[in-house]
Amino acid sequence: MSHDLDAPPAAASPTTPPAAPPPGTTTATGARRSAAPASARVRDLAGRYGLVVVWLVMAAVYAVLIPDTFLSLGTAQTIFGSQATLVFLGTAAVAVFVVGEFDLSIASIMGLSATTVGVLAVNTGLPEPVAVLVAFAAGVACGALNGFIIVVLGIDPIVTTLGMSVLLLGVAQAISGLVTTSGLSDQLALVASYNVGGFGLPISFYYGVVVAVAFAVVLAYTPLGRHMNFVGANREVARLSGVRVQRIRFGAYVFSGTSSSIGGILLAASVGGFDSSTSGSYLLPALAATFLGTAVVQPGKFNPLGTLITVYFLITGIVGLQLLGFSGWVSNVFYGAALVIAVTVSTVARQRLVRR
Amino acid sequence: MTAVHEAGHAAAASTTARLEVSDLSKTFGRSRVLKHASIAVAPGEVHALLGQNGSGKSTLIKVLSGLHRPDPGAVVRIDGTEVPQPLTPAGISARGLTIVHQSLGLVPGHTVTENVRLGQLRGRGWSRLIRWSHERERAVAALAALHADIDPDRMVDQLPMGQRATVAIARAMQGIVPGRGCIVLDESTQSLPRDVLPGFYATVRRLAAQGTSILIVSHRLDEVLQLASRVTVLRDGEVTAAGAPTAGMSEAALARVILGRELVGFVPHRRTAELRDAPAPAARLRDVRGATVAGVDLEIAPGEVVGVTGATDSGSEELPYLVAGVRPAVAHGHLEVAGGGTVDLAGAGVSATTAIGVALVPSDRANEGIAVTMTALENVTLPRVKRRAQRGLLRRGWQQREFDDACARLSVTPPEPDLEASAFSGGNQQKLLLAKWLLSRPALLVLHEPTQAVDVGARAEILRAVGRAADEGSAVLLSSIEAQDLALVCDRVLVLADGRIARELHAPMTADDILAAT
Repeated sequence: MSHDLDAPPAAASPTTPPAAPPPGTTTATGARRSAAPASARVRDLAGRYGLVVVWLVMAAVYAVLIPDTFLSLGTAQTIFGSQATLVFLGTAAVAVFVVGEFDLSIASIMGLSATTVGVLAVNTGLPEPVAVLVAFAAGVACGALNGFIIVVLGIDPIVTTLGMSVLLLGVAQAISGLVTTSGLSDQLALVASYNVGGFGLPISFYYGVVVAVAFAVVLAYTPLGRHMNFVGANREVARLSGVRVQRIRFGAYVFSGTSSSIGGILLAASVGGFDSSTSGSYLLPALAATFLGTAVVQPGKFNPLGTLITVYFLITGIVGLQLLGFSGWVSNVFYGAALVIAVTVSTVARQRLVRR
Repeated sequence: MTAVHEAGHAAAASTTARLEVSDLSKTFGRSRVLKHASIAVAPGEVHALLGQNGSGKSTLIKVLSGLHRPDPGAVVRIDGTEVPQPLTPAGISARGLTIVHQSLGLVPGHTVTENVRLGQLRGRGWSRLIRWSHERERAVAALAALHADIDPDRMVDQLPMGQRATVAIARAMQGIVPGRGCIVLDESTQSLPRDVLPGFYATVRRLAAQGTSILIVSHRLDEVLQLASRVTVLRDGEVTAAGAPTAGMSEAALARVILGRELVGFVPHRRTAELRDAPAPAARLRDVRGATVAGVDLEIAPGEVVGVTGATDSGSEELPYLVAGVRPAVAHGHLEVAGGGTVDLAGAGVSATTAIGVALVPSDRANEGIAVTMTALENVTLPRVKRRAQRGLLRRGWQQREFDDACARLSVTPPEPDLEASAFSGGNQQKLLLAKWLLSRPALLVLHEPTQAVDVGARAEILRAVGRAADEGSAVLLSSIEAQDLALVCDRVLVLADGRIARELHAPMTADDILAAT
């Protein structure tokens, strides 16, 4: 057997640096880069912000069909002022999806916190700040319990959080005695509904924007965010690179519980109470926004800004349809369809990307 | 070997080809990865399909397996009869063409019997239930045909890699009628340990002698020259050598045909004089133990490259992972790195070993090395993002500089930082993996099979980069079964047996010396 594979060829000097890379490789990529920058950039922008265009077109159609009702301040306030809870739930979902986990209990944690505020402050007469703190702590603790069961004990996340979701719904129903709480103070309402700068938008809208932007910055520009992305992309690669994978997974569940809890407290504060049995109806809209959000800003990735935009895109569609005279069922149809279409489109797009 | 060659030639001259592919093109988007490619495998011949990473040979195999649909015009014939398109796995196997993929395609959590008989299970008797005693016998017979003694009731995931490959090959071969059919072995020896290779080669030769055709896809040129009577070479999607006979060909000549240029010479790496006289070792292993390692003590000097090799389960495959803190549950012993401190390997995780300056390049690139859905730049910089963040934020500047440095050191192509790692060829992904850790300038660089599944060009570049890391002061621990690699870069080679150091070879040494000592 000859072993002269790597022996220096007689003619070539052994000290010559590596020969130029095989002809064609670098020049070909260089040419491809310079040949189609404009169209590529247009396609890139279309991929990132296509949904925003659809949003604007949709708003324009409503404006033409129902100018009197759709183009009013009240409609704008309904669209932008009522969705902060969904933004917090969407942010919670993004945090767990990014690290490759799953959390179906976000809406129930939100509901438990919202119920706790009302029950403690109104029914038992505790000071409202204490009630808020207890409700907040309850949400964090639920997230930590999810994290403990899933990460430390190694139980399947879908089964665990599905069970937790129903369990926490039941707990909320129990402590409220199946009665809708109401009667929280106007001061507490200001925490959520204070009209900032007189634009007619409640402060909770800005909370949502700040949380989504801050989380987007963390994901894109911090070591923690990079580590989270790698844990989601390939857990073993992350572990072998020195990333504390378990800590990050656990942290994602705690963050998820925390964000959901804040969403619940804001909801209870702005409405003045909460019906514990309704929390389940928040899960699907939040997941729909999160999945459809993968089609915006960073196509193919769960991202907080895409989720934020999608929340307002979806509610615009629903408010417009309701103003056109469709009744309550329309939001179910719209959210359900958005979820299925979002997953289908992103999966097909992904397959085409891979095949290319 | 010469007898096989002559048989192959005679068969090629006299009969229609067993497998004939002609005018095969395949376009992905705007790039054409196969251009009118063709290949003809004669009955009873061992034929090799060769080419660099990215030359199109994986695509050709995927078209044959029905995973990719070829551009119109392609014709596939088996024994002279055209196979109707689209090709499907069931369609081609019904005509006697079986493909063993590199990933083996075993189902974890199921027994050897179930895996071997997968796809052949039939209900028997009046009840139409599967008779497991019968299936078990058939599985044992299929394994016996490969001279393999594997417990048919074990779970495949509990088998060592070598036996897993045997199970996959047994499954492919049982469908073959002796003397007929064609088996495609796509990098199948990649996961086989060195010591089972002679037996595997004997099996391939025996099948070919009976008249079954074998098409092997391999980067191991010595293996190709040993087994194949003819080669077909792809370069940039075009056939540059169609059925060229291998008789009298050297590895260097074969490398030239594959690369289309002279292979750049690799000067054997030797430790520089000043580093040789370093006062203290850079790394010291004390009584390292694991599942197969049974007590290894070792000192590595700065700039020294220490090779570790051995047969299956000798401990040479496990040692890198124990040292790097990847298997804290089974590891025992201590690792001391000069200037970094000491780590108790029992219970210490990767974050503890990386903190004292250890870097591990694992062999399982897809599952442990790089995350293919993240970009090249993100993969390369991952181990350092925490340390190099400024005021908690990651800036582009240093990341771009690291990526450029990676491209310069290892000539990564294409040099595009924001491309997903999956878009790079296997050889370039391997370079990204190596760069990811070299750029940490580790005090102790641990590598396991760094050149597996890469072509000859990339292999020389990877070995040169390992040598350069040692020149810059790293202590290097290189675990490999590639004797040629070890002979080229190592100052010392340790041969492990039963978990302990059995022999120690010092440079200068040849690959044959290492093989003889193993």
